[in-house]
Amino acid sequence: MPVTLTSLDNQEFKVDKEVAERSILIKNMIEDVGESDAPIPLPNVSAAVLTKVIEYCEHHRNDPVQVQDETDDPRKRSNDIEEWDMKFMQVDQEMLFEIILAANYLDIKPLLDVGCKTVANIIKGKTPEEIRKAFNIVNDFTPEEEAQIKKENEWAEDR
Amino acid sequence: MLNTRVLSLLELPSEIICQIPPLLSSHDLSVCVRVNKAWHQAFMDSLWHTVKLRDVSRHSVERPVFDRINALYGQHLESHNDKSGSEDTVATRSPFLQNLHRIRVIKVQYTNFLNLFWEHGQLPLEPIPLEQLSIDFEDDPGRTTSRRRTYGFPGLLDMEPILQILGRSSRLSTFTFVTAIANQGTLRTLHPQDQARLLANFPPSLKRLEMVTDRRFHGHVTSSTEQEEENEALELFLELDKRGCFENLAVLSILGVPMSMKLVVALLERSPKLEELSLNAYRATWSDRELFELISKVSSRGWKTLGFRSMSGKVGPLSMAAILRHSATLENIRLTNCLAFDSKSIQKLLCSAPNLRRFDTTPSYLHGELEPLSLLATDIVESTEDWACLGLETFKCYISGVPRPDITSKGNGRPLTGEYNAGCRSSMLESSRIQRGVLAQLGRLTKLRDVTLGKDVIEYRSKTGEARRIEKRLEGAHYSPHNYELGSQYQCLTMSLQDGLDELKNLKCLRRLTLEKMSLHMGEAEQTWMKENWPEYGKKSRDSFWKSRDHYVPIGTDLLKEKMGDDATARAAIKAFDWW
Repeated sequence: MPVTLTSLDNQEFKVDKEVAERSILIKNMIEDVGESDAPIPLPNVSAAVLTKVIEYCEHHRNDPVQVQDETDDPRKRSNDIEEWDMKFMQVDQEMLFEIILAANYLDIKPLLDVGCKTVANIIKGKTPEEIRKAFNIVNDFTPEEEAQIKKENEWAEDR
Repeated sequence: MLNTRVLSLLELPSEIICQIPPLLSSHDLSVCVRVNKAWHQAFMDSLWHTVKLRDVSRHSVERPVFDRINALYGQHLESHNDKSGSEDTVATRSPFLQNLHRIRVIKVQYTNFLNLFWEHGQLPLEPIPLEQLSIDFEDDPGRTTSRRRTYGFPGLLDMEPILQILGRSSRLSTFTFVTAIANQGTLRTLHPQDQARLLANFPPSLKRLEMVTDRRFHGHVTSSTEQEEENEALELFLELDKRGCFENLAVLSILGVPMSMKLVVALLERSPKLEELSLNAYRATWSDRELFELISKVSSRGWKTLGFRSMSGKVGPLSMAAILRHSATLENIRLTNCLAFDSKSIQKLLCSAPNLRRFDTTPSYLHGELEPLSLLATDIVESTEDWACLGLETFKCYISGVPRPDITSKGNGRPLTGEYNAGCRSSMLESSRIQRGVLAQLGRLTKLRDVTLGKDVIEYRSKTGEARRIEKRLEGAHYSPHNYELGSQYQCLTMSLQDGLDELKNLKCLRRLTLEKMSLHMGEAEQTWMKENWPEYGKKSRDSFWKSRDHYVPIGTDLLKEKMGDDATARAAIKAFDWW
């Protein structure tokens, strides 16, 4: 049975229940309300973002429940993004942050993880100046301040 | 476009932001704090959460860790003193001291630890929020002798800096102390009296205590473990111990540290919440009776995890009985090279431990034994009880004693002789019945992920001589030194469909199965069957439970190999360090 989702800008999306339930928020809502044709309002998600999120859920509709190995080094995990997810995340930064926000709101843990990994991968291996450029940030340190901070944190140079 | 303003990273909710630092290395974090003031504020806590100064010296001889220590302490201090001329203003405090309130985890080598906490004087008196302290006393042969002299130590370790930090860390939950020194044949470890002082100074928050000496050491133990000193240590501990420092201790590991059993027992008596014990006693002189007392003196919760390695001479019938008495609470057990854990004891444990998740009795190495310690098929089949451990995930235990009339010759083509051809007298039918009985028990453990039933890879190392002598004795005139075969299990399961493989059809989680090479009767039918019935088979089976408890510290051998290549001196040096 399909479920209807309504975005912030009042667009309706018909998706399979199985796909919609990748979102724990929606899953709980459906469980609470019971079988109903009424559309589910998602007042925090725009149509553009919801389109992307649904695309993700469609692709991952049959994924098994995620079991995380707590002993794993999270740093290694950030490298293993599936190829499809990597392509999926090739969006502008505005959209990337919007997807992360939506994943958080809709409670789609795997999507949130992929989003955070993508952000981490943007940061990795860059110089401060490259990070500023990547995230459009203005440097408000004086050169002396920056040199001081660099010196104080130089010990952390493992890679 | 609903929102024309571009969202910035730090505007995301904090519960999202906090997921990003764990994905970054400390180098990346040290870059993040330089981006701008907002990023500085957002990432400083994460950067300083863990101060790890251990791996670097091992890998980069060019830029030793001391430069980095200086970045934390020395140079900074000097340059500020030059400018201001005053020593006790806040500005003169080193970055390390300035950020002490952020540090939760410290993983350092002992030398670095001394530099951080001691050579520069006293720590400030205020409490520090440290949760995990891991000190690794590794003597790296890749370093130059002059440096070793500069940072040379007296024969025993200086405890003062450690005691100082323990006194201020009221939230410390994990303490790991690894001594791995092979320096001209002398082991530098804790003097019994220092062991006592250390033990008496832990904060009550301590949950996990790990004292380790790397097993590669093979020289003399300079710290005497003589009776008199041990007694003095115990007295000192009892005198100093007023803080109830072990009331929350849950995990205790004493691996290779020659510690007095009396001291360990005194420690256990003060640990009402203890549920995990790991011992590796290759240097200790513990007896079966002492171990029995140790295992019996347990908290009301009972043991959840027991890990014993290299305890062959120590675990005897008494301690074995004590272990079996705790089977109801046991979740993880590893008894490596414990000969007293015989087939009947293993069977008894499996029948009486409903909470078991990990079970491992496979030896970490094989000396000359032709048939290593194993569970006999007949003990399983003749038992009136079923295995109780229905939640078992890892089962590593050699199963032997299966009559195999089909095997009449050894791997090298010579006939089976002596005790190894006992199976030949049985009928094929009887063999099949016994195998099916064994597999039926295994088949009930539907949570199994990783199963080892036979020795797959044999590591004989230096003991091949002994194995050859045994073979010579068994084979008599047939023996040839040029064509010997180092022990196979000739009485193992065939794992064929005919002999009951289909009993394992419900092992839907099985990812790995390790068998003796004599098992390999698996033909196409069996392989097809495996594909059809074990959907997870072949997938990566990762479980670092025991690995994370071993504290195996590589002494700089790999580094030496890299640096010196094939040089003869290097090879000699490597040999000296590469005991294991």
